[in-house]
Amino acid sequence: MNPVFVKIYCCFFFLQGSLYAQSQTRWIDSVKKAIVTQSADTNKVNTIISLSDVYRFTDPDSSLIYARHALTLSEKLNYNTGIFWSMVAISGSLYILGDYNNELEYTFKVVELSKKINTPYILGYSKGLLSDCYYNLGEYDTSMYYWRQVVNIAERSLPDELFSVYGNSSHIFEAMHEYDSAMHYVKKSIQCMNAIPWLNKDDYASKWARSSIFENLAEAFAGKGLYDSALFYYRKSLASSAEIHMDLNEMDDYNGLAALYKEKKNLDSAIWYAKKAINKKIAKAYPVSMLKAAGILATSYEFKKKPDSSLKYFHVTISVKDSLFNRQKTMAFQHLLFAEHEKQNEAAATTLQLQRRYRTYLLIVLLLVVLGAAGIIIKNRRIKQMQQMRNSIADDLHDDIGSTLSSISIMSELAKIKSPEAASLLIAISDSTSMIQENMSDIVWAVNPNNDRFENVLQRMNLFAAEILDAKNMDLAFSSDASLSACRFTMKQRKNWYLFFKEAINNAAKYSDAEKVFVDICKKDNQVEMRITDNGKGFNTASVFNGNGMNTFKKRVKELNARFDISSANGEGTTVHLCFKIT
Amino acid sequence: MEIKVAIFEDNKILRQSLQQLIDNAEGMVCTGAFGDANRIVRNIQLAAPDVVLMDINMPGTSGIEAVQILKEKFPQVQILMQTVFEENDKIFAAICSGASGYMLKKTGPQKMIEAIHETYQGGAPMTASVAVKVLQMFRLQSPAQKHEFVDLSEREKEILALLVKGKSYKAIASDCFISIDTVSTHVRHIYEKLRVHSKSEAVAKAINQKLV
Repeated sequence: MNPVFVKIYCCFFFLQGSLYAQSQTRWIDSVKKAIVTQSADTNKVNTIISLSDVYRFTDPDSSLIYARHALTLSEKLNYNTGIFWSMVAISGSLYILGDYNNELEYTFKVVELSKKINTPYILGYSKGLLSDCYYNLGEYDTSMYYWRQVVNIAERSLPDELFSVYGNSSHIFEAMHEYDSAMHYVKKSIQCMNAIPWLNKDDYASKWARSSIFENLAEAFAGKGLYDSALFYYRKSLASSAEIHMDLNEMDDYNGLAALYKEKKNLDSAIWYAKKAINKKIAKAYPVSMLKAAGILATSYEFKKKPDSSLKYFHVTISVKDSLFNRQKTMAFQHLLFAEHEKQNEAAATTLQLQRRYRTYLLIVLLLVVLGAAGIIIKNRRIKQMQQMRNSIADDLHDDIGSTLSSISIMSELAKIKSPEAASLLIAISDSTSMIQENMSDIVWAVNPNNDRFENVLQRMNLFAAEILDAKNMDLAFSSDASLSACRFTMKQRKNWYLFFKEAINNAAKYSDAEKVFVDICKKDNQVEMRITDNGKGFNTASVFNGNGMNTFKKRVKELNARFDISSANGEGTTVHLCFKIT
Repeated sequence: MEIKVAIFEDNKILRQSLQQLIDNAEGMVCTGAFGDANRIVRNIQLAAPDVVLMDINMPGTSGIEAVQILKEKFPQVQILMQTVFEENDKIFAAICSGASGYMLKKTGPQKMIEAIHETYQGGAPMTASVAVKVLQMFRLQSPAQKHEFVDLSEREKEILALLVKGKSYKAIASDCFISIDTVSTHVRHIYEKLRVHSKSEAVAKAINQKLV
């Protein structure tokens, strides 16, 4: 078996990061540091994939972890290309771990995704991967079927990749014992390679290409039984591989040479090359190749009648086989998955805990809000109850005092009839009584919050003026803006304005001797203007303005924060003008 | 013939004063003065008054309830409400129940006597605030209930509109070229329509609630 795809993959990786060969550890360290600080973006995904690639052959478990990490991150970022290469990396790691079934599963996902991304390179790559998978599973017909699709794509749109596509087909043909076809495609591959300028230099990529192609060629010759040509090309491949430290190819070359010498019964050379292969550092990460070398060694020693050494390498073969396929490996892998799963669970648990904590906070806040609201409602209700109680007390008191005052005024009326000599005194009593009644009525009215609408104020004013002026046979013309009725007043405004109005009307009724009184109330912007005009006898404003009668006006005006003026002259009627702001 | 007046008033001093005032007034006699309206039917049967002076706020049966009972059992009796409160709702409710008019307790004694006379003669006082409520009520009545639809005449509407403006009966009389008595008669008619109106509404309500 020859890991075609691993090589394709290595190519991809090495072309990306040629630093690998020189200072791998330093690179890994710096990358690891970078990952911690990098923000979770597409760059980070690419870095992690690279890290997974680096670990692929030395520590496939870590490689798998990094690949999965990259996959999760890409999925979070919805970064399709990242998801693609992450799954490619997972599938590669699974290959190294010998888990071919899961490798196939991931490869299917890769193919599915490639249709979404839909670029020739990605499409070709995924189909090639699929072909490799079936090759690894020993299904060479299916492998060939997919390889032909790759060829189609590459011939149409990826001329630079053709050489490797053709070259890799040789493995499949060899496995199917079609050595002529293998040879044909390897030669085509060489033609393609020669046509690509960047593969004919003295650099890494060119040497890598030569190493791979010569190996393929050697294998094809070996298959056809042309051992000398095979030996020649194996050696050429070996030289190129060694130059660039391409250990995987080196191992394959050694194995190829060993197999050739074994075939030629040159058992010592076979053993020498096989030992070279098996002693390569990378052998542990490339168990398939190690298995091949150990197999050659075991049979070679058998032929040399050295059962001890043969047995030793037989054991190696078995142990490698075991490490590749046995349950322990599966369990180790499962354990790895489990650990991964555990890590995720831990993260989920932390999130859950955080959620719970926030939920608790939310509940506490809600509870506080509900308690607060309940408190406010209870307080409001209590205030309302208190208010109701106060109102009912005030009503009772009002009723009682009002009734009693009414009886006083009735009694003084009756007393007037019985003792005419006390009339002046009794008139004073009944006047005082009615004044108290009037004032009380005004206060009760002003305090009642139901009366804070302009309409109510206007109604009461109108009623009052009509009653007072009617008694004096004066006509009233009361007019007000309709726009005023929606306005609201504070209790203070209501009281002071009404009392001001009362004073003005009382004055007009008492002193003006007018025939008609005009009341005009209107609104300008947010100001209320009131004009009370009569056509009476008027007065000299200078003589009255500082008199006692003005004090009531001045007090009301001050409390209203209003402006007011009185214009009058003897014989020309009187106009009282008031102007104040409402909010 | 003297006008027989019955008084319902919970304030003892005022009750006694009113009694004396009425007894002293010409052409009037107080045939009964009661501290509450809890046994109103018997009280009225004993006193047999022409006019009842009814306080609104009393312990037990309220003045408004008392008016409803009186209007049912003794429809010929005129009722004059008296109250210290100028709350339109209570006054309006009393009028809807069948009171002929109302006066405030702060009204002077002479005016009270005048009001009793007026009430006896079928007069009906109405103030601007009550006039507003009357207008509202007639405006809100739904035309769907046509069979019980009571509407005001043009003249009545005109008088109500003048009352809303705060005009006195005298001013209205001169504005409309009619006598004060005619204004009074119109207002009385308005009250009667209001009563029918509110009664029919009560009936409709009762039918709706399946009480009848």
